[in-house]
Amino acid sequence: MKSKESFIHKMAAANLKAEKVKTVLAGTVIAAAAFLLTVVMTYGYFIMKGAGHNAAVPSVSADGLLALLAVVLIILLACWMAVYNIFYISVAMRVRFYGRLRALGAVHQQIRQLVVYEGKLLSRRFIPCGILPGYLAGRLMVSSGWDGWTALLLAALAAAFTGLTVRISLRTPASYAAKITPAEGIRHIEASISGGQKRISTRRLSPFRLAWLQLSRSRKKTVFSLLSLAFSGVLFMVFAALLTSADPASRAQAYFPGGGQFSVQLDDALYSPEVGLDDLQSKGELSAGLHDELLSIAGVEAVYVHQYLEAELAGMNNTGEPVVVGIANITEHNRGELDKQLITGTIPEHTSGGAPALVINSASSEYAAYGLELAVGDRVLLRTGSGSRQSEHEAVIAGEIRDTDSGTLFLAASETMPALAGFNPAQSMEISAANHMEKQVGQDIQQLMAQKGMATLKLVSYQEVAESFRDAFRSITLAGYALIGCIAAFSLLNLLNTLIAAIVARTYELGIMQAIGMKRKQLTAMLTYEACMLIAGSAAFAFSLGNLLGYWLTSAVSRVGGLSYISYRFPGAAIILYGAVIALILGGVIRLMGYTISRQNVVERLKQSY
Amino acid sequence: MAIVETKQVCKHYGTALNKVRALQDINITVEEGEYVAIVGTSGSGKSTLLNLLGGLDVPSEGQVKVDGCELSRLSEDELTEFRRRKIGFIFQHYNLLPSLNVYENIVLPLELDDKQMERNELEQMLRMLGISGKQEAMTNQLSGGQQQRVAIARALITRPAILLADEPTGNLDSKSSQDVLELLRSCNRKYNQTLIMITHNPEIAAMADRILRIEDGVITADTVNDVVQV
Repeated sequence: MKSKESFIHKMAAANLKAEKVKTVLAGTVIAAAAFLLTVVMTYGYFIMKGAGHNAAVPSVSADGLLALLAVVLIILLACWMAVYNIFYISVAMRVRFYGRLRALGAVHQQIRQLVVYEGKLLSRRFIPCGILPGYLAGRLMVSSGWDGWTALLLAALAAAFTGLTVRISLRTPASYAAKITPAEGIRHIEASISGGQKRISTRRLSPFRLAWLQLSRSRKKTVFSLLSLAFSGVLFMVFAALLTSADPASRAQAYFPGGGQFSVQLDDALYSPEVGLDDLQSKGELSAGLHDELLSIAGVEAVYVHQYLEAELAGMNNTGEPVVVGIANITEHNRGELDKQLITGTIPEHTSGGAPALVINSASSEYAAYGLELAVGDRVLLRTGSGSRQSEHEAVIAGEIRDTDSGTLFLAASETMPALAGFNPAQSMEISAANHMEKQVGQDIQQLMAQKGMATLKLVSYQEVAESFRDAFRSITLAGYALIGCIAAFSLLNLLNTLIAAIVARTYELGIMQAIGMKRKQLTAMLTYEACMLIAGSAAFAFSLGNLLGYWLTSAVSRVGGLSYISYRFPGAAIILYGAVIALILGGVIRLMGYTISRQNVVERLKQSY
Repeated sequence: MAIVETKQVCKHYGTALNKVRALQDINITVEEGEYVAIVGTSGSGKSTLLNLLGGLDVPSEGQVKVDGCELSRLSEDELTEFRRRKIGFIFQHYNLLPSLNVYENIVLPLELDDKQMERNELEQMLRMLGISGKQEAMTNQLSGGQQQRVAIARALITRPAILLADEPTGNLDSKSSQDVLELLRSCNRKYNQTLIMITHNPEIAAMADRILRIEDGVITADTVNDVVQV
């Protein structure tokens, strides 16, 4: 048994050495799958855990998990398709080899083991080639909260998934090889593969028609080639849609809810264990007077006051730790949005005073983090301020919303906020300027702040915030484009294998065609049409399914807490680039076809049958 | 009229240190309508000679003329067109295209030339070959004998100057072999079709008008009705 097994191992290694194209292509597919899986699993895990870039702590949603799972499955499916296709074509090309092995005494099981062991060898060689760069890429993409051991575990999982996928993808090709009879080792016509149905001839036999007949003769092989190419294309479309749909400018917009261009805000660089938010707020620099002065600057159209309080929820600290939550104000700008997000109860008017009424955001990260269970009608005791400014207030929960983008637990009417605080609860003033006067307004605000010597405030512009997000996104975008570049390469390798195999596998048949009078130009035209049909078919499938999935995935991802700035955009540029590369590859393959056809003469080609 | 002529045809492979002489100084002439059998042991150069006569290969030295046309003067495309129009091949393993049905396999040489054959004419040919009613069948639905008849039909469709058959019965049972040989003989007699056939079988060779014996790349005998000329 041992000597038979080692013979199979040696033969498998020799086969891989002999079939260089298959080895390189299948190996590259396996490495690419391992790389993609590692990147997706590590990055996805850490993003969902809340270690991502420049975002409020995102919350894990079922949609987000589903989206990650979908991406992992798509990668595995594309890998399965590609490896299956490569090995299936390889077995189909070597029917006589396997037939001869059977004729010489190899049993079904040994042939099966031979094919499977080739897959094992490829996995052993190429999975590490994908896992290592995947691990490093994941590390680059996650800026904070990286845990090397967890990432290593995820990489090991990715390796296991890839190996398992390769093993599964070889089942059918291995069975196919095992079923080849000894007689087929001697016979050379692949009659077993050709279509058996009668067909009425109605059209002329042009190179186009010959190409069509060739593809329709082996429907199973054609369908699998199409699907394999298409799924890689789907994967590309999905990732391209995700990448194109992330808009850093939208992310910055969240900091300027009124649509303003500037924000005069409390300087968070001044926070320290000794100096809290309320300490800065109580200095009162964001006063009504400042509001009026800002409004009086030429070119300023509006000034919006954003209020924010930190409060301790009294009587909720089951763990002994204080439950500190945020309260933001309801303004005329966010009122409309709150109405849409309302689940139950009412939204207090932003000008309502009287007994404190709150709106609770049950989808906020604070709600989830503290494991709170509050409902409309509940009364809560809020402890605001610190030191001598501390005060307690009872408030009632009047309404409930679900806003995954916001980490703040409560909202209250603007008029209610000062009563809750006991001091000026303003956190920032957003300034909206006339379009043509932005620059001047910015300079005037800076001048005003310099004149007043405002120690607790800083000026931030929308452009600065958008630019900082663009910088942050750049690293993600680069990694993202590297990822879709890998996916595209994955898909193109598969295409290359299918096209090359189509020529190599039919060397003999092409020889017959030349022998009976088909010119090189006609042969090349026929092969070109075949290639174009495969590409067109798979592109149509990939385009339609890829777009649908891309749309669904971006919608799902945008519902993950903190990622609402992801809004579906058609990845036109990526598709055009991908199409251009496919056209280049097609051109290269056509040249290769012409070269291959001219390299061998007809007699040599016909001898391939013997 | 000589339909095939070779002058000092040689074919060798490899370099000077390792030269293999497949054919040496082959001078033959085949008249129109002749039925010639080429016999010889394995590796004697029979197939090489047939390939040169059919324009599938080019001689290292010498000339091959078919139907008055010197093949070495033709470009690759011209040679392909010449082969398509003037030469009909019948191979031992039929060499039909599995993606095409019977009708399409037969008419392919015509279609490549942008020509068509009348369906009636084709039907007549198929009846003569004993495969009428099989036009829509795929090749893997036919027996060996039927496939070889389709191959013969394909070779005859363009009314070629010469029919070249490389062991056409090598893959057939005796009954099918007999049928195929009778068909070829019939084409030769009825249409004055020049036929050059390779065979190992002396009985088949004896059916020919002339037997060329080739050994080690050299014509060793040229027998016409048992009269030895070389």
